[in-house]
Order: sequence, then C-alpha cells, then structure tokens
Amino acid sequence: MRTFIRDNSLSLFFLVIFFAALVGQAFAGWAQFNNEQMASGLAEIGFGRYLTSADFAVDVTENWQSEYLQFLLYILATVFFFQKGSPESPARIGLGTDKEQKLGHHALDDSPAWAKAGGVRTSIFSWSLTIVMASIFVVSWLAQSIAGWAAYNETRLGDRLDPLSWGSYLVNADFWARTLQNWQSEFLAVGSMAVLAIYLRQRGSAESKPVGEPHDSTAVTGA
Amino acid sequence: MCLSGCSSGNDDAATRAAERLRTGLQAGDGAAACDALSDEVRQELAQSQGTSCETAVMEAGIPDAGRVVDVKVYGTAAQVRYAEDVVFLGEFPDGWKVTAAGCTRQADAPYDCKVQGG
Repeated sequence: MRTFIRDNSLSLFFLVIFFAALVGQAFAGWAQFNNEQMASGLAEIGFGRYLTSADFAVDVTENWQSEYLQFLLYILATVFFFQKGSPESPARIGLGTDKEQKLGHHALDDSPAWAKAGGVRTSIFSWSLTIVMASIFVVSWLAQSIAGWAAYNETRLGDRLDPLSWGSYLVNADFWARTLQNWQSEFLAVGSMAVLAIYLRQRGSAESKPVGEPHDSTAVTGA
Repeated sequence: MCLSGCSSGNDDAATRAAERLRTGLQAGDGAAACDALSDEVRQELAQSQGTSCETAVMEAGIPDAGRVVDVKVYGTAAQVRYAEDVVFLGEFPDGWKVTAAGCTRQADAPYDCKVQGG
C-alpha cells in the first residue's frame, strides 16, 4: 500500500484535490442556484436534485472540455511548434524517426506491445494520447452543449420566454460565452507557462529546466 | 439531468397543474383555479385587483385555452402550450404550480400575461 501511494503520489494528489474541488463546487453551485430560484419566485431544490441538474452539469463540463482541449493542443502544438529556451518545447519539431520513437525493430524488450507490432496498431498507439484526449474533449463539449441548452431553457422559461432548440443554442451567445471564457484562460495559462519557463525555474520540477540550465537551452527538463 | 422530453412524468405533472387552472376557470371555480397558481402569483393577483384571488382569477381575462399542443419541461420550469393560450409553470415543494397564464407572445421580450408573478 505504501509503495503504491509513493509510486502514484502525483496522480493521487490530483485525484484527491479534484474530488475536493468538485464537492466544493457542488455546494457553492447549489447555494447559488437556490439564491437565483428565490429571486425569481421559484422553489429551492435539494442537494441531490442539484447534483443531477443541468445547471451543475454545464458548470462541470464547460471546464472539463476546456482543460482537455488545453492539453490536447499542448500535446499537438509541441509536435509542430518550437519555442527556443522552453523546457516544454521539442528540441526540433516533427514526429521523429522510428529509431527515436523506439518503434518496430527499434523497440526495447519492455516497450509496449503495440509499439513493437507495426502497422495499424503502432499507428494508433503512436497517436493514442491525442485520440483519447480529443475524444474526452469532444464528449465533454457535447455534454456542455446539451446541459447548457437545458439550463439556459430553464432560465428562459422562468423569464417567460420560449425555449430554444439545441441547434439554436449552439449559435447562442450563452454557449459561446461559456466556451470562450474557458478557452482564453487555458490558452493564456499554457502559453505563458511555455514562455515563463524559459527564464524562470522551479528546482526539482519536471516542468522546469534545472536551475542552472542556460536560458537558451531548449527541451531540457530538471527531473 | 432532466432535459426536455426525458421525463414524461414531469411533462404529465406540469400538464396536470395547467389543466387544474383551465378546468377551474371553465367550471367557474375560483378556489380551484387559485389552487393551481403559485403563492407569488396568487398574492400578486389579489393585490393588483384589490380583491380575493378567487374573484380576481375569474376576472383576469384568461382565455379558454383549448387543447394542449405542446409541453416543454426543463428542470424546475415548464411551458404548456394550448391552442389558445400559453401557460408557464414552476416546480414547488407541493408540486407544479402555474407562474403565468393568459400569455401573449411578444417579439424579443417576455410573454405578456394576464396573470403572472411580480
């Protein structure tokens, strides 16, 4: 057990703070929802009902989709774009050779089976991180659009307005305001990280260059 | 998560509440009609007319709605469209209640309703 925790402490740390933040968001969102209900002369709802509401679902999924998009773009952008001095940048752009990527007969004894297999399986495995991150992004964004549509229509009905179709919601300002307010912050954070890491250091972090590494060293990490 | 059309139970419950108002009005039963309204609407109606809800609701000019054409439910809010009226409802601890009735659509603005909350 101790070994498991030590070997997976980074994943476990984020898992724990994810659930803590999600629970916090649920309670805060519930209180906010009920405040708005009261202001509109409508009834408050219980916590369990809120957890299954469109209001909670849209607030969760709009953030999920943007986070997965952020990492999806970062994974892909660091294949095709270069930033001199950044530990997040590749040393040179491109997909690399089979030898560099340890594919086919260049694979190691303990390389993943699909890296050794060749053909379609190796092609799929070579892009598996992008495929999965992209799939989670698309599903989360779709879920945001559906939950956001339902939550928006609930508000519209409370305001004595006709509900919108899902298609109309997809071109509605509410959908794009929710989407783009998340995207811009993710793009800013990841872009500034790539640049700040050229000149600044965090001793011991895999996301930073070694403290004494020159500013113009690219694709060097400290851990 | 409850989306429109995902819960026929909610559709039915909202429709039943709208129908209680309609049948109350048709029967000339102001008490039954008022019972279908939310607390806020009842108070607003009585206050604005300076009389009891039972009397005010009968004199509010809510049209004979006709048959139900469409029902939309999103979370705690619903809209029941009749051939001759549009009714809005909210879900309360004691069930679905009418929050607006006798509503006329306006371009780019909330429905103008004979009976509605403040």
